[in-house]
Amino acid sequence: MSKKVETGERARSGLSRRDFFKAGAAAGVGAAALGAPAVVAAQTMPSPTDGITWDYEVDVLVLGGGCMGLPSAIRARDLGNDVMIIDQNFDLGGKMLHSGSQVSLGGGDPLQLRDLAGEFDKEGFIQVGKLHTDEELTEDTDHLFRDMTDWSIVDSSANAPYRYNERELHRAWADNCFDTRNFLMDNYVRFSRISGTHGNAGMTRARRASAFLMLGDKTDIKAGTVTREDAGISNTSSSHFAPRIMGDASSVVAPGAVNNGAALSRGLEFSAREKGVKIMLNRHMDEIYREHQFSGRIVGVRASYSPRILPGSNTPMQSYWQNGNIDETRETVYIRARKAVIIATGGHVGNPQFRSMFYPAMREPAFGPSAQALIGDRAADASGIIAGLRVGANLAGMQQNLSYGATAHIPTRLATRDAYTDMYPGHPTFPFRGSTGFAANANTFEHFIAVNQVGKRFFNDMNLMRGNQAGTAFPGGNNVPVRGVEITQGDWRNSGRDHIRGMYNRHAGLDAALQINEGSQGPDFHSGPLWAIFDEGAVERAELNLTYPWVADNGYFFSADTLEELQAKINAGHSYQRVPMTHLADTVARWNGFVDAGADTDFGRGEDAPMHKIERPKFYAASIVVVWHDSYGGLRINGKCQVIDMEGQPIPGLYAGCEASGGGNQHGLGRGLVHAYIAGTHAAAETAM
Amino acid sequence: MTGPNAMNQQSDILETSFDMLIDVEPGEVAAGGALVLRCAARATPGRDLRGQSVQILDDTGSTVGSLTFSMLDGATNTTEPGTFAAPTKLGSHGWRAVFAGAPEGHAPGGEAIHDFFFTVVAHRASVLVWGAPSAIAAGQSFTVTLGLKCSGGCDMAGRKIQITDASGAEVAMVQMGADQLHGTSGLHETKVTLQAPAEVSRQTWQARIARDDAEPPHEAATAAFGLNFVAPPEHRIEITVLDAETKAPLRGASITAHPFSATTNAEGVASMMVCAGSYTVWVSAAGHDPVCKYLDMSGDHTSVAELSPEAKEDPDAFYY
Ligand SMILES: Cc1cc2nc3c(=O)[nH]c(=O)nc-3n(C[C@H](O)[C@H](O)[C@H](O)COP(=O)(O)OP(=O)(O)OC[C@H]3O[C@@H](n4cnc5c(N)ncnc54)[C@H](O)[C@@H]3O)c2cc1C
Repeated sequence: MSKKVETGERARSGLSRRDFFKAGAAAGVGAAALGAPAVVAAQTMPSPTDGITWDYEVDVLVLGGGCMGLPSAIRARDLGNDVMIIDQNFDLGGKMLHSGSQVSLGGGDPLQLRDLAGEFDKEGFIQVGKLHTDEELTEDTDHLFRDMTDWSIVDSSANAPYRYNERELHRAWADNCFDTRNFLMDNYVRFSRISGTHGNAGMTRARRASAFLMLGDKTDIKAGTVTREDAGISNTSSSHFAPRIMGDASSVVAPGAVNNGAALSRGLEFSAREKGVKIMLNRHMDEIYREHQFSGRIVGVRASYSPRILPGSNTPMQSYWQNGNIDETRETVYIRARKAVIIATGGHVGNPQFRSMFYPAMREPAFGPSAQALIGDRAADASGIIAGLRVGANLAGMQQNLSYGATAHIPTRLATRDAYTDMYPGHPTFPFRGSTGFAANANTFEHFIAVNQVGKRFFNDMNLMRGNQAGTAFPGGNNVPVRGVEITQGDWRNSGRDHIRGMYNRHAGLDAALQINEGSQGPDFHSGPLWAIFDEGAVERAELNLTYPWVADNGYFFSADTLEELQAKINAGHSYQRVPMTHLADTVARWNGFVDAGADTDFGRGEDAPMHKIERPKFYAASIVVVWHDSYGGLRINGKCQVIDMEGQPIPGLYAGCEASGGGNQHGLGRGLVHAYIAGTHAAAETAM
Repeated sequence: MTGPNAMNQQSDILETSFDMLIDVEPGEVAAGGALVLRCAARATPGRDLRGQSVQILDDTGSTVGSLTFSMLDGATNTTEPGTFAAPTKLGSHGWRAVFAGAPEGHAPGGEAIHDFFFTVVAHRASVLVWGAPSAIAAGQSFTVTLGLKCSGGCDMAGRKIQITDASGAEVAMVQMGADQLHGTSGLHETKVTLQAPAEVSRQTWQARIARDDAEPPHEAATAAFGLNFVAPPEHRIEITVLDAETKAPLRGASITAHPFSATTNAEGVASMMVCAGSYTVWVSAAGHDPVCKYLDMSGDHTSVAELSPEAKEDPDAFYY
């Protein structure tokens, strides 16, 4: 045996050992799946679809069963079509299932009218009175449309996002809010009182309501009830029904009401199944077929089997409800759509390569999408957007990703990769998460230092979380319409100097965290993972509970007797720690020197809280992560949610919306549910081929 | 030939190949310490190798154990990590992984072989110092705790740590006792009482263990620690810390008036002596927003600080 001495980690013959180990785990790296079929169709053939034997044929095929997918499928089904949803996950709901279910519509929608009239819901669950003044609830669709395209509104990052919204798209959006709200309520969604608004849903009126269920003896969508166990038990457990513990909705509904995405998503799912929408889970769309690559109608898709299997198990995970599921385990199937294909696959938050077009530092794969344990590594892999591009679609809203504070941000949850959620054990995907993480508000950072992959500090650690909260707020705070701030549509004063100053809460902590450092290597210059470092004294002072499920042996939390051991454990146990944290011991020594001196000359700590030495064993490292929460840049669509090509023309038979689409800067559900209603309506009206 | 097979033959990507790698942690391992190995193998066309094993051979070619594939992710098969005892001989080592199920023609007998390397290093002693008061009156005695741990897990009781002051002069030679710090594995702790110098100053002292030539040998190690020597404090700050909402006393709250600090007792009271002068006094407690007071100390000070509970992370409002 010839021996060549290699020391250290990464002296490798060609293939990096770490990359090799990670290749399988990283999303969208292009490693051919085991047993995947060979190339499907030769390029020289007259039509890419010649010779394809279609395994299934439906009128409307919906790719993805989340916020965009479920309601668009129901809508097309309501209009008399044969509809199928395929979803790469083992359960329906996508990120919507995980959401807070805060749906901002407006324009005089049925809830605004209900609250204005002093009425209650028809089932009689709501007991609280309206929460807004008549003025805050009164508007029409013109008002809503103007709000959503108002150039003068400056948000908390001193951006004016509404000016970039596609006008045709938002006109259609505003015009369809009324019907969408009714449509949702017709499909087992119960909405709370209107309470404020959120997420780039306009500034001048109250438009937000959340979906709720009532606590009861059994979980029964028809009756509108959920058991305490299914709703989740605070600080203890989630359930398969609701991956996140449902929140107390008593202030917006009545005592005993609980809300979040489960109330929205499970209601819609129940309805879709009841109405006979066909559902094929564990099925990842890989390619969309058009008659010719850049011309003709959309014909169908190719999709591969994508079961999700828990570590240590051999059997694929199962959906919460099974009725309507098509049991299909073939590696590849071809599905033809007689009328239309709706791209409802969500966005690009889980595809580091794609999202780096918006923020190059986010090519760092250490940081994942929100809801990743639930939706899996391939959910937000931009596959719908990419498949659209391959058949001639264009992109829109490329600059809009960075106007929303929560797009890429540092959540306060440490010691878990899946940090933008409070899922507890009890949901079947919890093992992918491993730990819930523990919440570290700004004050907790009094006891920590935050270091980068080489073990150096990069910011005033106290401000890392503080600034971050501002990053998700809206002008005037979370509750819009803004009370005490004068906002008049299109008024130049809205973007006057004082207002911009007032709104400018942008925090630089995220950017500092993603900065190139001594461990970044070309060509990608990944900034690497981030760690909160602390000692036993911190655990006592901050009363940290470092037990399961808050922390676990999942590569996102480490403890050790010495800093050297801590560094070695991180290096060995964290998948994205590519370089040793060579500066850690020096950084801690330097920090302790600042504590002795009473001043942090590097980052100015001490003016905001006391400083404490990091000296007493044991020593701890809890991961700090950046989460990319949602996507705005995506497929260009028009007011019918048809996908638009490079010439500005619709691609016949192709629809898209919500996070797979671009050009509309509104956050999440409000945008997506209306897109879904529009797309379902128009797809259903296509002529069958 | 038709179908996928025909394409297999034309495509470079689908040519038969078999790659195997061993992940070695740590790349530099303490003599006799734990070496964690993990194997990954990628075959084209893809293969499910779960249940099959890879033999691990040491420098002499004798089998020291095996790793069994248990996970398949895309095209990559991986084993669980396996722990092996590192050799005690210092220097570089080359071990070999042999997999007996590689495709025909890949290697004689269908064996895939991967050589991997690591370095065995001398044990490292880590010296730690903690618990010095944040301010020490000049000329007084004070106590710190010394910690000592061997990276290779050796029993460090009886080893000597030398403490030197800012000038490098030895102020103590401490023999480590057998006590180990609770919750650690093999971290010896010993308290030592030291004498502060007469002059007021901020100094860095050192705790050092010399290199020894035991089998296996330990490298020398040093820990620096900062000390604030102050004039004799003459005024008392006493602060009672309460929760602003419940008015309940907060135990374990920190009072900091640099360089002085104290912690509240069960009654929420912290008391400390400080030198005359002006101070920014921070009061902080878990789950509360800190408050800050400015004090000119020319006499004793007594006050009550009420801390507001910090805004709770409301999941409903927070995750949207
Ligand atoms: C914790 C959390 C809280 C939130 N709270 C709110 C809130 O209160 N209000 C709000 O407005 N928004 C909220 N959001 C955001 C909102 O949930 C999303 O923006 C919205 O669900 C996106 O809808 P979508 O249809 O584009 O994607 P999703 O709802 O994620 O659905 C996409 C579906 O497509 C599937 N899929 C992806 N690729 C493929 C493929 N190639 N083939 C087959 N299937 C595929 C996925 O598995 C998924 O089921 C929240 C999100 C999270 C994570």
